[in-house]
Amino acid sequence: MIKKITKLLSQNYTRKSFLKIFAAALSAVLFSTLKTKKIFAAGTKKINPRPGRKISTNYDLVSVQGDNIPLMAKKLIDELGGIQKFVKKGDIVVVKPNMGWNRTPEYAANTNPELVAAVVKICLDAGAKRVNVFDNTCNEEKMCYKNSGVEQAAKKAGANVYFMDSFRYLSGNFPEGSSMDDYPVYADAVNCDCFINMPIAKTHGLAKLTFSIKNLMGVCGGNRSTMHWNIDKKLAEVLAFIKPDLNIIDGYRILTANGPRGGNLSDVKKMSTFIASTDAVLADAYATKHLFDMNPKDISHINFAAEKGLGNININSAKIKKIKI
Amino acid sequence: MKIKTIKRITQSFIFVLICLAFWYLRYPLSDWFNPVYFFQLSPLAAAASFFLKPVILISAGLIIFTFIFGRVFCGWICPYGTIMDAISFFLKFFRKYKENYPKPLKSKYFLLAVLIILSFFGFQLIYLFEPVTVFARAFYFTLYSLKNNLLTDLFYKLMSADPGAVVEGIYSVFKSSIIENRHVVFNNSLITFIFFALPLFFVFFKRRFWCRYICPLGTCLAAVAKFSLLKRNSGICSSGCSGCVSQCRMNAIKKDNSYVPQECIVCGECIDIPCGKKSKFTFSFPFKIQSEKNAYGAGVTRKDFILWSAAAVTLFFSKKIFAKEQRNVIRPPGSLEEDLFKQKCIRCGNCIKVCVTNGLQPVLFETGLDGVWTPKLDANTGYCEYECVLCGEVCPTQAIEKLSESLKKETKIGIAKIQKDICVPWRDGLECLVCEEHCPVASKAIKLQKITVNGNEIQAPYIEEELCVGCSICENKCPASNNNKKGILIEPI
Repeated sequence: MIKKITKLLSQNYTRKSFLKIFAAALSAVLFSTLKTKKIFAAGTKKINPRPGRKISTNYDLVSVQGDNIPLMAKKLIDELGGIQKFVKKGDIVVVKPNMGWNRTPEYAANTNPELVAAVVKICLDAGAKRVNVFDNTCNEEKMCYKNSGVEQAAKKAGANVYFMDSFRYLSGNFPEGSSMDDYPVYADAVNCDCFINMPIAKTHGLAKLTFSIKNLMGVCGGNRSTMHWNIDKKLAEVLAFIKPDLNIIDGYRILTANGPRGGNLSDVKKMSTFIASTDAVLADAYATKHLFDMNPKDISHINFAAEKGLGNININSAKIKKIKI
Repeated sequence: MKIKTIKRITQSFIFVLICLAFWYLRYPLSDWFNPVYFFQLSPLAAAASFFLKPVILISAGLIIFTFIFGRVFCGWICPYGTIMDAISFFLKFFRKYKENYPKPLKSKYFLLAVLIILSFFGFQLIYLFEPVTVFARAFYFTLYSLKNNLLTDLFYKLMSADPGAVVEGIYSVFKSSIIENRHVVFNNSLITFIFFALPLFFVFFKRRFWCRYICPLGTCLAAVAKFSLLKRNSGICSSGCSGCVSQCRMNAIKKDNSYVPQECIVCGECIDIPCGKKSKFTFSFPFKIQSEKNAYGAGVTRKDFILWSAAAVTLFFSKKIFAKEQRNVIRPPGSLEEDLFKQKCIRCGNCIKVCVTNGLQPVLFETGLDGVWTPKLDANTGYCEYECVLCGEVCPTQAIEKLSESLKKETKIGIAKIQKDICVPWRDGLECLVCEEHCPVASKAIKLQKITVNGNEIQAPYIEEELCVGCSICENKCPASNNNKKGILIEPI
């Protein structure tokens, strides 16, 4: 073989030999650039639903109002019963903020970076081994992570902030007959000891309002656009799959119109409120009522999740603590 | 150390530097380590951009440099030349290159003249032959994307199998430094690569075939290098061994040991050869031209003139025939008017490479004969990020103007049209509204209206045409598709 090549290369060049070399090289190029198999679809591995932790807290829901964000975050968790209830020593914690949009914090499209940093710090102080922060973004991820301010703030607080890897999406083992089929779910969001869901309160064209339940879409992969068909059912199934241990709704700035992406500062309203609960449905219902002054039963995905028995939509029957700092 | 060795080390170093600069042309943009300046070096880019101020300043630097040192750019810096030298270096083990001084061809001067004249008449073809852009396109569209995708796939396979801490460590370093976190796909990448590789085949015959007979940039520099200060001084050699003649890859040394300065790329290999009377490069007085007037044989003959003008006229009219009057693709925001854009664009591919969503794609003949490799926004692969102005910042000739962020947000590049026979709410009465959710315009260019389909009252999208900027994110994210057609379509304006 080598001799042949040597001969081919060292001979005197005729038109024929040139064409030969040319044809060989062309076919080599063609062969090497054959489209590699698209492997971004979910793999064959399946992932089981997250078991979640049974946590009994002092109150069903705590809401705090004030201006000092780190202090509010601390108070919030302390009133629920302290961080020790959620994070044990050596735990791997996932903090899932909403940083899906390429917008700076004052536009209220992404979770407040100071709040994320404060919660990360609380978790690390409680002895968490690692705090992972990630989100499957709608805009370009590098820009979202940077401009939302979350990457910088959380990294400074000691979190492990990273872009989501295509190979860590595994198709979820959703129950039989599920509308989710076998949608890919991010493995790190499932294989963790504590999942802290940190949405921002804003409006949404399809879902009307978006809080904790809708925020869980950020751990799903695949073609997420199709999730918008029958969104109520799908969101309920994702909620049952992930079972977040703690939901902290950022109502410091809320987006009252043109959500979820926003862009007008006039649509942003400062409410200076954080809401925390282990029950995503209750937290969402409370935020609907107190941040947007709407009836939770009108928001179909919250209502649907409550009907499925995933949480309590009835605020009046819940034990609620309100604090002002 | 031999000059040859120094040259090879320098060439490799510069080549790696250029590749790195090309590779890291991405968000966030570096202020100084930016290949834009490299494209602006070329005097041809200056001609293409109608002598734009920053381009003319930088390319004037190269011309002055060439006037002092000769064609050092060709011999030591040009990445295309480096590749050719590398290939011939390896081929040397198999075959011996022997030069016996055929007369240098003057055709390259005619080619350059035709290119520049056509360029001024509005038909830009410089990009076809400009070596830096030829290399850059192949690098961006083929080599970069192929390498990135292969590495991504490799790590996908490795990491799916829980490989342990070492591979994970390597991956976490590589991730978004050496590999992007996604596949990068460019249209027509194979054609681009073939166009780049074709001239390299002629290295089998002559080491610097391209540089000798075609390269318009080299020709441009040759016109200056004729008067360069740095000239080969052969001393008093008259032995007639013609060792240097057969060494010279550019045919710059004639059989009688006289010298053609405009052909010389200062590679210095004639100094290295074992020769009794070593030839030298020394500074000598500029206008003392040696007797090489007839380096190319006769001057412009009637035949030459008729032939090349005929070629130019044919090209010009073929452009007219195949021209597309209207803009029929979505151009990047800040693009000049269609005709001017195609003239000024040197097809370096910077905008296409830097696009954060992989939305910009090179076109082939979609926009006419004169639009090859110009960028278009393709909603199948990406969209235009609302707050991003990178493509304007990396354009060396300002065919895409530098826009401020606030101006860019108002720049319309297209207009969305809902395809009611595909759009799910309009067709099936199923609520969807993905487009409305993603619409980046602050007050939403996609608005909702209540309609009744099949007895269900649902919300369906409609377009507020005055607000729509045509960023294509709605088409890109639209989940409804029928034969690759989405439920919403952006039309260029």
